[in-house]
Amino acid sequence: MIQIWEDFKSGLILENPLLRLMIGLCSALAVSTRVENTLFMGFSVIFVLTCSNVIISFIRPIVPEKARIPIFIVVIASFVTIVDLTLKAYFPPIYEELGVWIPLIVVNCVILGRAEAFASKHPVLRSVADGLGKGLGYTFVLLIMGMIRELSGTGEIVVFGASLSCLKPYFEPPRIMVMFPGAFFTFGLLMGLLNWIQRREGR
Amino acid sequence: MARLGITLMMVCAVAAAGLAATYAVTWPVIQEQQRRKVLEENKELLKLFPGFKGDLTERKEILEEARKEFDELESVFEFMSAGKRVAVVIKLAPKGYGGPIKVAVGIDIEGKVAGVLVLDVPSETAGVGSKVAEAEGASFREQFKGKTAADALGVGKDVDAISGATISSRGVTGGVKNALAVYDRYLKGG
Repeated sequence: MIQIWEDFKSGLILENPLLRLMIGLCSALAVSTRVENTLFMGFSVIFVLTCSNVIISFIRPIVPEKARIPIFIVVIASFVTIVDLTLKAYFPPIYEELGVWIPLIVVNCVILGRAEAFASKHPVLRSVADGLGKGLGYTFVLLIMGMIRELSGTGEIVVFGASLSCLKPYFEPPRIMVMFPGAFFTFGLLMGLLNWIQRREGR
Repeated sequence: MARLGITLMMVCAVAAAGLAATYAVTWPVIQEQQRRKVLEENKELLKLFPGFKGDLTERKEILEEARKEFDELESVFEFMSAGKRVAVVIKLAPKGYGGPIKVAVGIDIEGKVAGVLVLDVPSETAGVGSKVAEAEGASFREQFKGKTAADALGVGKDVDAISGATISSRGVTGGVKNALAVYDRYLKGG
């Protein structure tokens, strides 16, 4: 039980896929322009990561060593296609915003990385915990980045048509924050902040 | 070696079954979404056929083909009702006085013009050439009703221009003529 909790918790901060393992970055930098996008992207990644971890852990006794990568890719790609079709059918505006980044979850290093490094070597329950933890860690960082970028770049945060917070009267939002450089600024600052906190705690 | 192949095949079979199930559930919904999107994006075309209930389908392959001959052609739509074509709408951008005029021509199943919409006149002189799109030009646009590909469709022959806006009127008239020609050559019967 403690082991499972540890597997789950490690993904949140200590082994956070984005800030610590530094994998799956390109989609994170690209979709974090709006909070709404990060929520859908985050849930998609959690779903695919957890489901593929479960299946891969479950079939691990019968998977031949030599064929493991193609098998992992088939499993992951199937779940990604399920997400892709579901979003396309029920959330078309979001699907258009996220565009190519949904199909690209197939090659997101977080997912193949966890399949190879964890799920293929550990029992099902621990793999579920690992998938959920890493997925939530990913979503959490994505959400923070989305909040910072949307608020500073457009002056307000709009989720499902409701404006959550608006700073428009106070400043002229710099558009650069919702463009590519803004992603790097935000990500760099977040990583610096985490390093600073950890160093202070270590001392 | 055999085990490797069999395992791969099993995994792929299960994955394919899962995908087929998802596809079966989501495909009708996706189709419905796309249908609604086409209707929503081309709402203004419905003005040509008031009271029409049914679907709009874009015919991209006909557009490709016909564009080689008529380069002002922009899009070709079919109005479908109960799986059958009931009318077509052809959008074109013929040259007016200052630049292209955006025109939509509705043609009924007998090949007669059912109505003409002037959607946009970005470069016509305001108050003069722009009349082809405005309320004042309503009677000008009405003249095209019932015309077919066999008609002459020339300003001064069977079409009266809006006074002061001869060139813009000529542009619209040419657009209607070309729309009928496209219908005659690429859409009739099929």
